[in-house]
Amino acid sequence: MQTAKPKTALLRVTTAGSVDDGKSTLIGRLLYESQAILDDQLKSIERGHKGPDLSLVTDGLKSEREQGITIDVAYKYFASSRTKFILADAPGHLQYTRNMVTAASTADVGIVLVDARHGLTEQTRRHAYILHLLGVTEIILAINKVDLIEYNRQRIDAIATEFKALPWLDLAEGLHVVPISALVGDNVTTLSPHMPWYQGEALAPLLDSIAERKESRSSNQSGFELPLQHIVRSRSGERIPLGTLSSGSLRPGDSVRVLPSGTSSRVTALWRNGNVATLATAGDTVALTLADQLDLERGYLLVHEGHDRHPARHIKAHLVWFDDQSWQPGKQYLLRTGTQKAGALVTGIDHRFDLANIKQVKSDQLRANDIGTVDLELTKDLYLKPFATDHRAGAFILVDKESFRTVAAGMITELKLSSDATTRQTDDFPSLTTLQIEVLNSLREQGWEVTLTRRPKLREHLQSASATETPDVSGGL
Amino acid sequence: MPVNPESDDYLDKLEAESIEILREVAATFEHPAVLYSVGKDSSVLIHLAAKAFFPGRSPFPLIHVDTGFKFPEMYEFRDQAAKRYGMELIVHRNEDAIASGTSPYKLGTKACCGLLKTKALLDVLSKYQIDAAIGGARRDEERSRAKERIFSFRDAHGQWDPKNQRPELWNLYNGNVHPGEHMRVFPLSNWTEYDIWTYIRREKIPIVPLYYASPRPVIVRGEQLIPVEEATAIRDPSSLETVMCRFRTLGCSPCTGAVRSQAQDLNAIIEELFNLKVSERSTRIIDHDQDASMELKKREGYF
Repeated sequence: MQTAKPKTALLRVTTAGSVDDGKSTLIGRLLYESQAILDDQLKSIERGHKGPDLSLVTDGLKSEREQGITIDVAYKYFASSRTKFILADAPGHLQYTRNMVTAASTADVGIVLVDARHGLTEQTRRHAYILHLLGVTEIILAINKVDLIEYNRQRIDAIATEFKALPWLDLAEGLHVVPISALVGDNVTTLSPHMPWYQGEALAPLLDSIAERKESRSSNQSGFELPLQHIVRSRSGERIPLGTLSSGSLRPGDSVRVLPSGTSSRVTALWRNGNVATLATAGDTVALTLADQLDLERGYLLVHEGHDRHPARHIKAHLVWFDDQSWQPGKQYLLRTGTQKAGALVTGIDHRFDLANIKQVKSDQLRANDIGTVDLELTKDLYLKPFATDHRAGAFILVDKESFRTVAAGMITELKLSSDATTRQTDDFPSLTTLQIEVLNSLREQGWEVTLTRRPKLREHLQSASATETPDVSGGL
Repeated sequence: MPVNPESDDYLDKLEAESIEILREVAATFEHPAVLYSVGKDSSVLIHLAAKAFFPGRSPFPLIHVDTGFKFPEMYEFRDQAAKRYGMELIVHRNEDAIASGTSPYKLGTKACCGLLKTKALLDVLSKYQIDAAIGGARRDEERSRAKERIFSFRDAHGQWDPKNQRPELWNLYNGNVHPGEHMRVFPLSNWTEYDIWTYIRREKIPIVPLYYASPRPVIVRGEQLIPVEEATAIRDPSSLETVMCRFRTLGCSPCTGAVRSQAQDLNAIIEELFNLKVSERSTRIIDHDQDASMELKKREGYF
């Protein structure tokens, strides 16, 4: 009885902005318009003849209601006919930056709210910067309360121009500006009659369009990567590796290589989300059997034969410090990334980012809510990537080994491949980049004989390949 | 009526997120267990736990914290479900409190929940040294649950500190706990009531028949339909009526109201969700015993 229906997307949205910007009212409005607020909830926020006070919908904890502030992220759910939305409503105060970072880490889209009367504030810039830092590539600047400035186009354009000029914001396609009034409903679900000059979509349909674009963006990566999460035994005693496919696609019959052990085998059977499957793609949870009984454990990486990876032990990363106990120089923390872990030492701080003034400053310490660029040394080799190219393989958290608190989160900007991988391949060519080495290895493993010469043509070719594909990979040793 | 997605393929993504969380628990904790409440969310949870490790077996035992006040259909279903999924079932009751006649009539709902649920839960977790207690709670159920992390830390007294939760980024869950402390883990955090029902339909997951409409003897008190079980003290038999009704959530029989409904199958239940005007837990009397009731209970260790 099921008929063919259009695909429904799942979109994770985070909102940032202070209470005064009308953030709660906007969320209340979005929920109200999608009928996600039920009668008993509406009744509890009814304020006399004025109707419901939509800003009260997102109130969560008792202490938050008492203090009139948001402390932690509240998750809200609503849907359109095309999209299921998971909305993470984040706090705006500097003191709760860690909770805002929590919300931003899983977001596909960030809505940055500004009050049209006041324009960009320190808080707006901070929120936009955190979204940028956490790799959120779709940002909606919602200029709110435009009814209070008589829908003044010059004023709205001026705010948009100032926002677009933020030096670190690099989002040509992913930046959307929507003038709205959350209170009155202008440009929230339907276009406002007061701003006929506005060429874009209203906010809710815009979210639908972004979801649709995200859904249609197919991964065309060749080769798969499967970090092993856990190993179980089947009822007949076979070892079954489990994991979530982080990139590419996987089919029964595929040849796989196990890292770091370097053994190889072939996939004989595949399960996707618990069901027998002939194909799994990035984001799917898989279980599989291999033709050979190999040494497998959590933290190992299965890759497509011919797509070898090299581990790293020294990384550079943006670090957001969360814990009230500031960074202790010389202290070893536990680093967790994907399914791997290692001890980690912060060996130096390049600079700290001054969030109030959005500029880099020299610093030798990291305190709660500080963001810095640091060097880390790991106690063992891990398979990592720059965050900009792969969010899963480039993100990590640091855990205090005594208190077990999550003290920081990091996003890898550069990595140095471990010496054995690099020296083996670069004895004669110390200037080769990690990507160049990967290309060479992959060609050699596919049976090509590659001879490096110092002719400029090949060097130019490899350099331009590295420049266009992975600008964030550092130059090896 | 609430707007809902037109197709259910987005459920694959929710399913994958939940499976990844369940595997993470199996891989990183020593004594994990599923807190099984026998309700629809629990049914989805154990179905996902079976899928997560297939073709292997789910490593989690089921713990049922039994107050003695559950509906008879729930006990029957519980034992069948454990057998069907091949999962070990641990039933724990606060026997001392039950023997001394603890009931919502005698002590009020708050004290009764404290003894029969919170105390019993904390006791069984410590008895089996459970370091990860997996539950089926969802963020859309209630406003304090909307704030909860997926891996939610509990101190040595089982308490939740909502103002000082561990930051939780990406899919990196920090499950490190000291002896005596534990984690509550909520793989269904991002599922809504609608998602649960459409998934039950898609996967053909068995649920307790109390969720389907049937003529049942109830006491009608305003909007609330109070089911009549043997345990219920009936002061005025003339208030008894037989009403076509079903349960939207299942708890203890004295504290769970039914709703008028004609929905006798899953399609009808899902259809009905489009027209519902009140939220899911409005029939749970214990949620309304005071302001921020759930938050206060949760801080003390309640589920």
